[in-house]
Amino acid sequence: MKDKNDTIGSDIIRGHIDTIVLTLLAEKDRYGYEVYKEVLTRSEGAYELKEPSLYSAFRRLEGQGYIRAYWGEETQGGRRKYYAITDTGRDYCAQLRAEWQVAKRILDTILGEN
Amino acid sequence: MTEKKIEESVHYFVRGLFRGIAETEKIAEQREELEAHINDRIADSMAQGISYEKAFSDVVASLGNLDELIDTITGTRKKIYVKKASLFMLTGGVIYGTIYMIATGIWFYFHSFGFSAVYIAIPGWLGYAIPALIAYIDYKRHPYTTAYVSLDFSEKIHASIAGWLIISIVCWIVNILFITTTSLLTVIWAWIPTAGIFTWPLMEAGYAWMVNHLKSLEPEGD
Repeated sequence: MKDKNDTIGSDIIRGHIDTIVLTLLAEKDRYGYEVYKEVLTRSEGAYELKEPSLYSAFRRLEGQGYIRAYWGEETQGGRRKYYAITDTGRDYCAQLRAEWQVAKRILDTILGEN
Repeated sequence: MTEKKIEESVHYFVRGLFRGIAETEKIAEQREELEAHINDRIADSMAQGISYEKAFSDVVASLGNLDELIDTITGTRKKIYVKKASLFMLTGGVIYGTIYMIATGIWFYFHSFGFSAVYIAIPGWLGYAIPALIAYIDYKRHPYTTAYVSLDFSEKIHASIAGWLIISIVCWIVNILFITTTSLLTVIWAWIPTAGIFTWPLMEAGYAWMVNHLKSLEPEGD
């Protein structure tokens, strides 16, 4: 788990944190560490969404009304804050994903990847 | 390392990350959330056979810089001389309070209190003067104490205006409804709480203005 964000590509991914977070929340409500771990697992350890960026994204998306937070009811250990996507959040997520598909296609075409 | 000891270390580590940040409910919630996150993360790492020391140092490395997060929570922030700002705000309060208590004293003087009106005006005035004096002593002891404060005061100003309005309206309603029923209350007195509680939004707005515009509150070379 070291220096993953120093790897090539992390700056490009950084621009899509909102898309990643919204996509994961569109599947189900999750708490912060769950999102963190899911990103690490799905990227097979290649990308670590560090806490400051992750929680900044939560605060930003919450402020924009795309997600909402609620406290869970854990009995042992500390209580956890869960996040749920809102209806406008789903629309925004779909829009971000569509934009990414367009950008990806254009880049692939320019770079001759197809 | 017991689980309790780990949680204690995490608690103090997270406290340290937020040192110098003005405490609000949002900040306290973010601290609590990060604490739970870090506890989960360390427990997970240790379950995978990673040592506590390594797990903790990984966390420290990840959480290097919280500026972006704190800025997102608080709106934009600014470093100011906090003791000086409090002193200025409370001095403004004394100026307003002096005028207000003189007016109140004169009013009581002409409403059959005579010179015993000073027994109302002086304690009222001290209510403004004593906090200002304490702020002055505090400022003299630590004139250069700085802290980050949020530049977004809208929540506080709205709350103070709402509070002032509600109390004032209630006073005016009571004043007008009961104006003829008892001999003691046959006068318009509701302006006294109205003007008195107005100190509150006035101070909040004054503080907001100072933090945003007053150059002498800004530490140099920062």
